[in-house]
Amino acid sequence: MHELSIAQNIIQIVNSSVERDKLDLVDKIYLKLGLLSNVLADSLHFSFNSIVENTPLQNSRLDIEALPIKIKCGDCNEINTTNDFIFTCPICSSSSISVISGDEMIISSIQLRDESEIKK
Amino acid sequence: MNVITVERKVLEKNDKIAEELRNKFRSNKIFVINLLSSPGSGKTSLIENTVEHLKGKFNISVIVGDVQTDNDAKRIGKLDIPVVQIITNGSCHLEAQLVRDAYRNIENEKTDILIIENVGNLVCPAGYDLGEEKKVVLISTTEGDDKPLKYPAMFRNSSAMIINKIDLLPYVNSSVEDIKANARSINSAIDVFEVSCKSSEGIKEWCNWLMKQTKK
Repeated sequence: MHELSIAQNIIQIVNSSVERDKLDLVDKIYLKLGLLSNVLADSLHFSFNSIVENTPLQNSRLDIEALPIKIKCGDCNEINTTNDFIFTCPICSSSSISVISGDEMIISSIQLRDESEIKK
Repeated sequence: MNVITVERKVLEKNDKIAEELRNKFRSNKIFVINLLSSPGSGKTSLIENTVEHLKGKFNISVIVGDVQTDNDAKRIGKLDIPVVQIITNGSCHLEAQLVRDAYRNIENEKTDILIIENVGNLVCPAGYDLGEEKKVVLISTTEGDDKPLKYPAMFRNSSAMIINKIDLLPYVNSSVEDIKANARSINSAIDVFEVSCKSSEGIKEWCNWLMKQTKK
């Protein structure tokens, strides 16, 4: 259950990326999670929603995009993606594989609501 | 609608401290491993065997993480080497900041190899860089051959895998060859050692690998 610690890190980054008086306008926090990042999306939503309760971020939510694992074959140089943790080249069956990406844990952007929308 | 572009790593704070630690360890010529396993695979026993085997050749220091108790530090302390216990109070993994704080207690000790014994857990510690040079994963023959397939990130990120409790092979339904094949399907470059911390079989080969790494 390290998702709680991940959620705290996300909140710190949001707090330092958005002006303080606009934190209550934060709508969606776009997050990219590689399959190798070992983070459970459901757990992360739960942790995040629990700790933003009664804070300016209470109406915000995480929008999580799962990224596949990208692998490059050391023999035929082909680049492929895998979603099932099989580290074998689908072209030549070589197991000489390097992982190019798949362990990302990145906040890509933050979407704010219009202030006028809130006043309505 | 207003969108702010961020593009920041969630664990950037941890990664920054880990990089500072790595630079510090490298400039002090300290080789650091992050030792990972399930609870009960034998991390502390492996450390005891390693320290015993390398006595007089290398100065080893240990930082050990547990959710509760300082039992492991007491065990390792009996070997008369510098050891610091981190009690995480419920947290399932070590973070770079905890290692930085713990290391301050042994900074003045002569250290060639620093072993960080992580909290017993094959999931959460995988994403947290502690400033180590290599991750080493330990698995025991009683845990099932398919452990590498169940926890791929951990085995993918490790440079070496140690299979412990080979003395129990006659009593368990486990095959060292299957464990190796499963680990290599995740990470073809992983170095593998078969040991028994009970009889010390295989410890020499593991220590040879460790010594070779310190010279790189």
